Amino acid sequence: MAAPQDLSAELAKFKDPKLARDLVHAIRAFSPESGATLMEVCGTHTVSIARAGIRDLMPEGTRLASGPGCPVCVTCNRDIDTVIALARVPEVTIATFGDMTRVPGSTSSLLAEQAAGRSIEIVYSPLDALALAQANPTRQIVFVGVGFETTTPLVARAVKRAADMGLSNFSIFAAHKNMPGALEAIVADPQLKVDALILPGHVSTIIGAEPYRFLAQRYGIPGVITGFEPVDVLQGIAMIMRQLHEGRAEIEIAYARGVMPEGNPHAVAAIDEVFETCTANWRGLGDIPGSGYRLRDQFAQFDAVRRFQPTIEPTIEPRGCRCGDVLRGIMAPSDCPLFRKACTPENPIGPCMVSSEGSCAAYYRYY
Amino acid sequence: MPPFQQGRGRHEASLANDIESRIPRGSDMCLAVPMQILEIKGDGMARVTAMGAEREAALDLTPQAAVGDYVLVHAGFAIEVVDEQYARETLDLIQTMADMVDDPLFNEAGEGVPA
Ligand code: SF4
Repeated sequence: MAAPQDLSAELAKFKDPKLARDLVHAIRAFSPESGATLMEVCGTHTVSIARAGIRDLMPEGTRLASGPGCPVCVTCNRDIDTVIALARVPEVTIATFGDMTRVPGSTSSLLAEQAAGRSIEIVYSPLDALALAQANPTRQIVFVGVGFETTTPLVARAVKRAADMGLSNFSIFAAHKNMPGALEAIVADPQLKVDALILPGHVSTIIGAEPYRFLAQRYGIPGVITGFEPVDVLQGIAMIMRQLHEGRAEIEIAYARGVMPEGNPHAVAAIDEVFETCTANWRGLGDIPGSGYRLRDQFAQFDAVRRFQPTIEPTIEPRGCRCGDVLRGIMAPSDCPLFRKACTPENPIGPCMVSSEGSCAAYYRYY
Repeated sequence: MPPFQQGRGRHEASLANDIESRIPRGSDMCLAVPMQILEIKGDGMARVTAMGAEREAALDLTPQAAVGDYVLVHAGFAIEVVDEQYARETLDLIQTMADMVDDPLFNEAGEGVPA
């Protein structure tokens, strides 16, 4: 047997201030004089960039915009209302990641439903939801499946496990989305003027580099798959600046320790087994064909909406909230008239202020 | 020194301290932290550890993972085995990029970055 590795010394270097400083110098040297807009499309990057103060280190004219990378934030009101409607079904217990509970729907939120006596459980993993179903045979456990390719295979595995166990009191609300479709909507929008993409680390862990290739080839947009430590983020930006400097548009990987060029084939197969793509509605971006996942017919009995046919209230968008513009990167959170006034993390008006990965929440905390 | 443009009037000298003070140390247990596999159990679950914390992770998506490997863990599943070789190569690449700015040619010209 091979000796256990010790990677901790290597990993610590991704936090090294000296390396970070040198990379900032490289970024400044490579950055185009005319300026550039780099968009990051991953909630974890939003938080890393804000927390490490990376915006302040950028050369003049370089704009770091946040895109549609926060899964809860891009979930449209209709979907949130559907989850709330499911929570109101008497035999249903909602199992969800914590972020989702405080997101305001048209007239309620999961937290408000819980205060009104509905059964809501916060779970860390879809497997916890499975365990809840096994432990509570008289309850119907509905897992809220929200997230990108990083989360989709895990939920797929949970559904497959439930099918294998013949579990009849487990189902999911399927609202997973994939990233490349949304990125095409972003780069094709003439209003947005994105020059390059800081591509998500862990979405790419699953799908690899290939699904982004068209962005470089068809739209001439460079993209670098980037990790999450401060040095990773700076390295991703430095590689983008170097591409811009040299007039190249390619998809590169700055996060090779976590992303294989071909992705994780086991995870892709897990998604394919259970889900097929469909049109999804994104907050701020609207309907995007092929950007969502629904259960294949063979697993349709695990579709909570089909199982319970809940009555969904008419959709009302939060008044004055500019999340749609924030998610498209055309508006910084601080430019929203409600930011830090009517809208705070304690009293969020839109989802971008609720989720810890939301741009508005990140701005509120770190700027 | 190359004629750096300053972002929002920040001074060169304060940069190192500034970055240092902003880099988070330790406590957060996010997805970005690879966890090491301590034990693989019969049911396809592994016991994993990082920074003193222990968790369980399902190995459905990383059947190749072995005890001692580092894995990325997301919501109860290992989603990838962290490649040690690539971690080192990335660091070398970063170092190369960082070193470019110390290159005298590069510094004199202010740009003239090696292609
Ligand atoms: S600050 Fe609040 S109201 Fe404004 S866009 Fe963000 S979430 Fe919406």
